[in-house]
Amino acid sequence: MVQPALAQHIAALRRYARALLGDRIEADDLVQDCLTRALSRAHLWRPGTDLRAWLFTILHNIHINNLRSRRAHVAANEDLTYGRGARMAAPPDQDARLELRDLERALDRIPDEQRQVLLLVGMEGMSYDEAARVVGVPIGTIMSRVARGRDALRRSMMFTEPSLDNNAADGRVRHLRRVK
Amino acid sequence: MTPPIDEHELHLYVDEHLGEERRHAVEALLRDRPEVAARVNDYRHQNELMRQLFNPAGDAPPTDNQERLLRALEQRLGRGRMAALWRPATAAAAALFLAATLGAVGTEYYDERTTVASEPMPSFADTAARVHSFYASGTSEPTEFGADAASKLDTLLDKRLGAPLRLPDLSQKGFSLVGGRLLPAVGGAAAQLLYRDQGGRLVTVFLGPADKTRLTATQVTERKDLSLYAWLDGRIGVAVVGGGLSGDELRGIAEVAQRSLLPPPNPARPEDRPGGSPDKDAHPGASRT
Repeated sequence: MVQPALAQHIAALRRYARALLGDRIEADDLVQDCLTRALSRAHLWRPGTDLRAWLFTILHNIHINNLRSRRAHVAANEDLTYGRGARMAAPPDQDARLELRDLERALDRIPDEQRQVLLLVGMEGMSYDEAARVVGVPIGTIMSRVARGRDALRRSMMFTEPSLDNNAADGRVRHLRRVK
Repeated sequence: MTPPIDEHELHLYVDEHLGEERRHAVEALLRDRPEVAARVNDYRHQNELMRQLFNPAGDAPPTDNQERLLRALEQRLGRGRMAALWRPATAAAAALFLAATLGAVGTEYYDERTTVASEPMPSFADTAARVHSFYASGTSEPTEFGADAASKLDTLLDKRLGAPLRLPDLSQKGFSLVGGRLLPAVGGAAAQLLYRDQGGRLVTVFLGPADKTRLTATQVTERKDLSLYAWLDGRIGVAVVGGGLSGDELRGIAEVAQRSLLPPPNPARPEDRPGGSPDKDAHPGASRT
């Protein structure tokens, strides 16, 4: 029997990993590595403490290590944005899909550390404090990453495909497509 | 007079982390400043889009291995205080338990009666890579046997795998045996041998019955920072796996492993081994220079 809470955390980990990496297989690997490590360190988890934060911290650390070793190995000759691009999981209707794709691309363009925080706070609904513990930085850093990341996403989405919609009416290219 | 709203509070507002009083203050500001309201609206919408985009990934059914780990983890965490028994002293047992839980070997050599029909069995190479990554990611390195028990492993390999194989000697490539473990498998046992070089780099050699696997010929895989070289040695599948090594480097190691695994000349040997002259046998333990 699986505790509902744990199963929910795993779903969140999978969602987060997918959003971080894009590629389904890479994301599944990351979650699997995370669970494996959690299992081997289960004795370190104190009952009554935040299980979600604990699991996300483990996943975060593995992700960071992977990024580091990738950077070390890839050095100059290959793309560092491996695994990007196959992110979208479900194809909604046309308009919404364009907007989702815009967001996906915009997410790809921001630094990984901003992306992590936006996903933790915005998608997972973590408190800034919890996100700070997961990422291992002060809460002030979380705040500034949120602010910078959101502005970058917004700028990026404003200026993608300006010709697709006639939303430049008031001189600002605004993104007016909305999902119902 | 309430203090002015700062930028960070706008974000806290978007994420619904503001107390009631400040929330009202922000809402008042948004009524007065449509351009700020538009921005806040966009931020909110970003959150909504991220969820739409990635919720399906979270809702999709977990992989078999994730499911298995999830159950094992649930058990461990549920045991609360009992978890204190989870000590390095039981590392060897834990390693086996984990490997079984991981399904690394278990899935590969699953008894057909218990295999979920719709899930294809992972390839031999996948399993080898998985088992490698699993042990490479840990800080400690629980092994069933230390390097000094190597001769024992040698015999065990023979006995458990039912094949006259020798322990690969990788000293020529600067890797020495640091330990190994046997893993349960249907149709015999699988073994993982761990080697390290001076720089601490890890190479594992994974040996197991290949009857039920999809390994049919030499297979080379390079993914992320992991390279793998697998081949079939009679009924035994062999995979050499390394992280942080170039494909060429690993191929060289695989060739040495392949030569040193060879038992004394045996006419019924398949041809598909990577390069080298298979009959130039190395005696186990005899280090080459």
